Amino acid sequence: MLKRKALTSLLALALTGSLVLTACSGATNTASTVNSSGGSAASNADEKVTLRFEHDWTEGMPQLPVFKKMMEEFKKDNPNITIQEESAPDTQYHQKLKTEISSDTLGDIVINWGGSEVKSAVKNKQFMDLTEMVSSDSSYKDSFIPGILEGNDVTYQDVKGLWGIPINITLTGFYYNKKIFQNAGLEPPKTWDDMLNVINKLKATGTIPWALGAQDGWRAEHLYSQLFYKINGVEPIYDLASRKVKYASDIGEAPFKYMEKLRDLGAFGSNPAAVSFQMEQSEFMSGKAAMNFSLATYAKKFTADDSPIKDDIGYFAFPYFSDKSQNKDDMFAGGGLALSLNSKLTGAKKDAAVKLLKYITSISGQQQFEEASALIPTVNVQQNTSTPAAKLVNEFRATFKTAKHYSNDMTDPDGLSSMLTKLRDVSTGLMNKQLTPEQAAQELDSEIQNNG
Amino acid sequence: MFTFKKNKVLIIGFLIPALFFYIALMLYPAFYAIVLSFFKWNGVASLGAQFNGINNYLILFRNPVFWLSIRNLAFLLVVSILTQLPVAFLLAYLLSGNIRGASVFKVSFFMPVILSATAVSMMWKLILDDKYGLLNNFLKAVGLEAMSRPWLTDPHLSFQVITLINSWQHVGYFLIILLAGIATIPEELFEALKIDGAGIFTTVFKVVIPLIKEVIGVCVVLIMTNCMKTFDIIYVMTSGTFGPNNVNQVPVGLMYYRSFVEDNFGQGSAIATMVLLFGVLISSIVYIKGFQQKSDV
Repeated sequence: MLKRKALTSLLALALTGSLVLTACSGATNTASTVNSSGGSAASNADEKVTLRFEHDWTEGMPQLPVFKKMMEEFKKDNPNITIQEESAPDTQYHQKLKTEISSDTLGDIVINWGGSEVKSAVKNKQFMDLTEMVSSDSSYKDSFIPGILEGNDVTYQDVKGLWGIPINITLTGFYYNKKIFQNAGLEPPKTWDDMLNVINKLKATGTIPWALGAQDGWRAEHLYSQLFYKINGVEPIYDLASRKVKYASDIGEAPFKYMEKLRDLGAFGSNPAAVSFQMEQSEFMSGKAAMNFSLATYAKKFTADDSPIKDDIGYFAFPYFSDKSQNKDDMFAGGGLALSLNSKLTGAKKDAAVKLLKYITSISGQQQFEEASALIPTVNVQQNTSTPAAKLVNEFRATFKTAKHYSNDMTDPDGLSSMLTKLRDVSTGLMNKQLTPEQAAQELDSEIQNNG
Repeated sequence: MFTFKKNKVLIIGFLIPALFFYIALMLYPAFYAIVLSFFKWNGVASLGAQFNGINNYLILFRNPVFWLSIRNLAFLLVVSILTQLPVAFLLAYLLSGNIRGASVFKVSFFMPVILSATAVSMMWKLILDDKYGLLNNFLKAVGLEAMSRPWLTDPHLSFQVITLINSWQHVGYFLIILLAGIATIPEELFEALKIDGAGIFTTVFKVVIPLIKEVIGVCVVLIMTNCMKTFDIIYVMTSGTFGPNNVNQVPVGLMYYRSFVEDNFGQGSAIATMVLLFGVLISSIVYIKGFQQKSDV
């Protein structure tokens, strides 16, 4: 009897344990399969080919109608090419991307965000190196904004090559409420001395000077990255990635110290670590906060018809430090979305995919996205000025044109995939007064040491 | 009579399909996760896994966040047992008496169990929000502003709050199990105790609890396994960060981050293996040594 009970108990425990373990291994054992659509041989202009095009543009997104229209036109000119779209909303799309990289079943043309998410696909040569394609067509190559084809989202320091063509630029800067500034007799700040003055005066009026949702790590990390570029310049991020420099140094600690200073000054209200990104936007849009350091993408939301601040919104560039004016034009920006090709493409299929890729990413293609304010093109297009959002984005773009060096998240070149998460964690930790600047920097070094 | 000896083939025939799925979808992946914990693998099948010895474990043991997650898990286990069990027992004991409207109470207490963890977490997140939450605004309205806190971001408070919400959600489940356990005690026994003049203390501690000891044991094991799997409630309440700065991290959360965010399946599997060992060990001790009735009783 006792034996039977013990056996039953053990079986129950084994079941419990396996439930926990299964969660981890469930997605791991996927077989390596060859993409059946990737094996076309002969190259013939009239040969019928089908291309799998993967994207995350779903119903309601401004990119979708532009893309659909472009595909219709492309099909008219190329009746032998059939485009099989595979789309999914953002979160599911990221998961799809991960699964397909894992099982080596990526589509023929794949929209992605570069960086560590697709690095394994690059390392494993699942993506095609587009260096040759671009360098053999100088007019196509020269149409891109300088530096954008060398960005951290389509290139990797340790895997030489060009792994995607960027079609959207991430731009950052400050949105501000003109009415609040006017009432307080303030001008948009240019330097950090001006900014501190603005913060103090806004605080005196009872307004939250700067809406920041540091509960979401990426918000605090974006601030760290941008402060890093203005204090140290962009270049030292490569020294950190190659471990020439430690985070526990003047370079790594200085931005944290400035964040601490702003936090203690009350720049972000009483407790920014309790504010989510959603609340950050509500604070700014409701007029409770006067400034918001954010992405150009949100210009549309802030100027929408139902936005309470649509008539009062303005833009200014992230201030620079007077004593670090050499880094005035180093900024948080870069390619934010790219099109990559499957390396298995050959013959007519490869030709068709290259043709389609160029069609979308060329000036005429990206111009259509610009006109619909659907993307911020990576080529020099005629700027759309028809809507308040487009005008606002053009102000972001004007700043970007002066950029000397630029990069997105400062951990982008880092080979350790957990660094971005860690930087986000410690940035929030600092805003929550859990960590001092020195401790935050040490935690980043520990992450490297522990995983080294 | 339907016996195993007479219907061997039929019984085995019915058991084999279930056994096959259990082995293929539970035991094999679990075993594979243990194997994977000794490899370095980023999830790309065609890249293959490289043998990494015990490095995944060494890296894990060096990581202070792992130990923090273990401390949080221990806290969650202890507090969950100390809150869920007594509250569930008290309610079950009260509801087992012939009180009016018992069904209404049962449904009310069981309601949080049938709600999804995401819905519960979102609700509490809105209630406990620092600036716009119901609780802090209520405290402000009644002049108790000094008591208001950043409930979900204060590093000294947030995990305690999440633990209590987790207990609140699950207490109804154990209430039903204990109620069923108490219902198995013959009514005559309670009548005899009444005639003998036994007080409530004697009835509960000398009779009811010993008689449902095994049921309580099952509840303890279930609470523990629930705690070890706790993920969704923390994930939602911390907006997926388990923070600020990992203060609300638990081993399963760390496993998720290592495996599915950072594509480090070797380390994720090492964490899963540790959770398995920890879970089997603690549950075995608690259930076999602590609550199983002696065979000669």
